[in-house]
Amino acid sequence: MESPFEVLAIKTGESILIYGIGNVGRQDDGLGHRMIENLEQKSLPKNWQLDANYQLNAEVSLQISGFDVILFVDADKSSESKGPFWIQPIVARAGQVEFSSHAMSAASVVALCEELYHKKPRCYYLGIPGSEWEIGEGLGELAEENLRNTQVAFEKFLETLV
Amino acid sequence: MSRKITIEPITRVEGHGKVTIKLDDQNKVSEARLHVVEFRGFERFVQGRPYWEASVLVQRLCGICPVSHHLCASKALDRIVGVSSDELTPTADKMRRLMHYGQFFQSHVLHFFYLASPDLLFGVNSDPAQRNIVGVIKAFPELAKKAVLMRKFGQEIIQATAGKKIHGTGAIPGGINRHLTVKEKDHFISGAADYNANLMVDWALEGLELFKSYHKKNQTWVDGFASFESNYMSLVRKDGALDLYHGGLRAIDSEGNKIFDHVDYQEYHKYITEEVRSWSYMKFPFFTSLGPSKGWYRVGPLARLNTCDFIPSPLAQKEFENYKAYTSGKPNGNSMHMHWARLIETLHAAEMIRDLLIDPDLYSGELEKKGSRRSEGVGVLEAPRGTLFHHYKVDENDLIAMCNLIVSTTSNNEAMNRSVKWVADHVLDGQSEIPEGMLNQVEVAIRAYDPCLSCATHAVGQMPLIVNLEDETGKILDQKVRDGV
Repeated sequence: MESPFEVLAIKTGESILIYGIGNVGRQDDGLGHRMIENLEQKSLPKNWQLDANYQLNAEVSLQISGFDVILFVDADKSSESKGPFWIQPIVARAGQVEFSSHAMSAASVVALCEELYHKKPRCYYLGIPGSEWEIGEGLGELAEENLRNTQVAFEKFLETLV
Repeated sequence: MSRKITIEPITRVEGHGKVTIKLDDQNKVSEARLHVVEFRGFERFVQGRPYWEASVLVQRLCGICPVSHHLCASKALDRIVGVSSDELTPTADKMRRLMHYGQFFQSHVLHFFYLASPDLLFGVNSDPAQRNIVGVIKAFPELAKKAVLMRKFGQEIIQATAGKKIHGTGAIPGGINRHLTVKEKDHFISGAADYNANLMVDWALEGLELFKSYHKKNQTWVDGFASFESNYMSLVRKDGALDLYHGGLRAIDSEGNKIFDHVDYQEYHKYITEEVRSWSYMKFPFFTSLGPSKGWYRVGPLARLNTCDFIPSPLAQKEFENYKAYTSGKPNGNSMHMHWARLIETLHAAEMIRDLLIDPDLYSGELEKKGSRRSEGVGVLEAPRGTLFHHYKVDENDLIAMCNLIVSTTSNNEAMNRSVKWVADHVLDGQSEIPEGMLNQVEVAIRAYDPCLSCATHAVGQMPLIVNLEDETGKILDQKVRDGV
């Protein structure tokens, strides 16, 4: 069966950045960070880098300009989510300045990268559904299970690249 | 039919707040409020944890100003381990200050260049399709590139001093756990050709000139928009200088008269009372001696430049003198001048970073001090958004028994509400239709305070921005939805 990660269409030698987003102090909001922490224990192909932060901001546009493929990993809070994870391409889009917000959407960061540095890396969103969002450490049961299934699928995909 | 306008934005990172404006049958404003509608209680989260974990745990409040919480908690914990923050070793004091200035620099740059500049460069009533950061980039690409590198520089200063980009561990109770390396020094001073400490000063000046140029062309609007008198509070150094990291509390009234001065912040609870109101989870602090109706105050850039006597870095001091001359030395109550004050502070932070980087104390010297254990400690510093308080009590088992935080956005709660009211009265009152540009002005007035509702409300959530028009019964007459982050 084809891996959902094959949508990334990674070619040999391409540089990849996997970027976790969220706050580990807010339960399942830490899913992106947990995915990165787990991957840090794995042997990844050369040219692959891992990073994570609370939220995306303007300087990430400069960072992603140096890669061929970017996979943003974030918790998914939408109730419509089905399955342990989903992947979708990010289309560059200028986000509105949000009331009181200090964060940028991934689509805005990609748009910044295109406008400022004239680079168009292939960018994707990996969403992992969670259900617990209170202040506190550790993932809820659903998020743990979804993360485990996502990791298994991603590691199988990695094996196909070797 | 009377109407109620609701602006309800939520982002997962930053918390949950909304604005409601009620209009009567004649479209006259009857009420305007900024509500905070969720509460999580971070203080309870740290109770029962070992006290030495606090300075790392509090960074998980949110990702907007984790360094301010890290350092403020560390100052409180200095007291717990028996060391006053002004007794730290020179290395610890200067490393913490460098970390703090790095945070200030990158935070102020984010606010001005990415959140405020679209309104200033295109106008508050301009097409929202253009009034965003990509619009700024298309119109001012070189400025945008510099702002990205300024953010990067500030983040790298934080990483070098705190040890990590996020969840840093640099500051510890009684000191700091690392020196800066010569390699790091070389990188910041001259290592990177496209950005370094001297360029940061130059670019901070350019940002300031951008605001001043805008101000010159739009003087009436900038000076008048959401302008009102208030009290002000900040830390000041013993000699009255602006000090973002340490000092005594100074409060002044709208005429510049001192309400209190050089107060030891360990006794803040004698001077400040926090009021609860039924319609918001965010408290309303006030000066106890003046009571809630006269004792509310503002903190942040505007307050700091109103309370301090001078700025201890030459270029920022020169700008400060011009800034003060504009209001003939009187306290400045112009809300839009917060951007001006913020940019002067950005310049000050850049100068301080540049000068600290060549200080030999950063590269060698004692890191930590210890004293006699205490059971209680208060830490206060000036976060980018204003005065930040951390107060802890620790039991005999070294566990945190009590935690109280007063974050800057909470101190500005009353002022933000008055700003909303000002816009409602001066812009929305009497209007039969509410175009997007008018609603944006409500946001512009609040945004000037650079609020961070995450710290203030401790909430999570991710939804689009919803604007509701409601009648008295709550029936939705119209709704507009913007995309969320």
